[in-house]
Amino acid sequence: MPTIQRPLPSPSALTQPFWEATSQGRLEIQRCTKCATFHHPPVPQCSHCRSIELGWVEVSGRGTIAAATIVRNSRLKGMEGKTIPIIGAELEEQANLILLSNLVNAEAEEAVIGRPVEVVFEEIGGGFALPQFRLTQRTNA
Amino acid sequence: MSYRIRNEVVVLGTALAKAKKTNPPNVSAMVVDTCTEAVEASGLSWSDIDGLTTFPIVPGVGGTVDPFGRRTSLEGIEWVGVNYLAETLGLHQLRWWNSHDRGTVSVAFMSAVNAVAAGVCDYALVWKSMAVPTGGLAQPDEGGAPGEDQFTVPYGLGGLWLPRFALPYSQYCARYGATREHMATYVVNNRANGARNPHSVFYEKPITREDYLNDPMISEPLSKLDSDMFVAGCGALVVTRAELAADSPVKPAYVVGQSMGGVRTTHPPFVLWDDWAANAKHQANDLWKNSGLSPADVDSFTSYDGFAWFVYCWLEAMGFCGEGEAHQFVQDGRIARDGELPVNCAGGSLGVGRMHGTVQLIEAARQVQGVAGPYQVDGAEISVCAGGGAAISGSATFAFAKTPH
Repeated sequence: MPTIQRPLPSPSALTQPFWEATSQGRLEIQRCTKCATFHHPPVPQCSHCRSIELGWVEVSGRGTIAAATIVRNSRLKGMEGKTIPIIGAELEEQANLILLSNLVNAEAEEAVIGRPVEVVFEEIGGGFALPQFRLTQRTNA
Repeated sequence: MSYRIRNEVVVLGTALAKAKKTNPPNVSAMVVDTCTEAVEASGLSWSDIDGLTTFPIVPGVGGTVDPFGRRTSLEGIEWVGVNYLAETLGLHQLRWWNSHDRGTVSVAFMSAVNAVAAGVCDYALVWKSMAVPTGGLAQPDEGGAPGEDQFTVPYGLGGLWLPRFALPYSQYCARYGATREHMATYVVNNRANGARNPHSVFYEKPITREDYLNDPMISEPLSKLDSDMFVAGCGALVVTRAELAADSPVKPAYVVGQSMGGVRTTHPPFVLWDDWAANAKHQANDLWKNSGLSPADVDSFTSYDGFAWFVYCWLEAMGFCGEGEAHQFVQDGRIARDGELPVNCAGGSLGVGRMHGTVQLIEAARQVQGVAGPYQVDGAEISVCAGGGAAISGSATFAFAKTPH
């Protein structure tokens, strides 16, 4: 059971596909249909080739911790007093394709840069499922 | 790119109000008083001022609730913009004004330098006022987290800025082996500088290494002592063309170089270390090219330090030390007022209060004017100011000289 009452996302037309996919247990990231560049958060126009034809594709959900901080004694509404490991999870599909997320099923101190992670989904109410990451034993190829 | 106005623009008078932990009844009088002091320190009167610019944004939110239930800030009470100041003082002679919606005071200053150089006005006043947010920490609306917040706030980002700035710094620490032991040296030095500055909120309040190392973590590896403190305050500068200052009794600070930052090259929900570093490098390279100076020429360096690690970023980008070496460079008294490269001798943001780069800009001008008082670097002839946080904060850098260079 979640012990945290998280603020819920407020999707727009641009971001709705992301949350629809996560609610069905899939991690989909926006990708340009012309040049195949991934974008997160989603964008109205591709910053690589300037196409406006952008689609959504499912990704592996595997990645590496690229940045990490542990929030102590959070002051955010619904999370007051909690210890929260926040990571930048760099997905294996593309360099610098990073989801900001939490490390779950681990001690906060295990949020260490370079460790491999994989996505899991946490239902947070309102029909939303939040992509989170847990440590894996996978070694980086 | 060819810089065309080296030595053509000077800073005359500057003024800095005492930074305070609590707000005055309104910031209007504080801004008027501080700006008047800068005008008079320039040997001028208000009727001479025909250019105005500021970066008016106050971080956080005010205690006022608008008819739609949104917390907001009131002009004249919590901030002062160009229209307000012009109307309050009846500055009918204005020929140029401009308000900046991103950055620090450095971007406003750069626009003033270029406006007087172009001749669209003669004497431009640049100021920055700040107030302590009275509405509490920013929290997501009841309706949920919109925009890019939907990819950050549900994860516990928000409420405070620290986690957003801890993430890129975590990359620096992991890559180069920097620790809080290293950073303690910088923060303690800056607070010692602030403790000597009567305008600092921390005047006569230095801290020890133990204070820093024992400060509770807010977002590892950052504690509150890594972040500047909210204050009410104001700073102001007057710029003009060197030719107009030729007969002035005020010693000028010549603007001998300037540069402005670009945009980040990736757009994850937070800015990566590499983006900060690349953007700072881009600005630093332009500054050296525009000014014809090199790091060895610099007698005094002021760096934006709203978060302490910005100083590492700038020291490396400017070439005062190598990539990944700043945490070592700041050790051993090297950045003290009598050190190899004095850094933020007035106290910067960490040592004075959250003034969005105003203290750094004023100190840089004062150092080469020889009027820096308790934070004067002996014999300073060249100063460099990195006025913002480099990558996302819209920043500009400047080189000042005591004489035309």
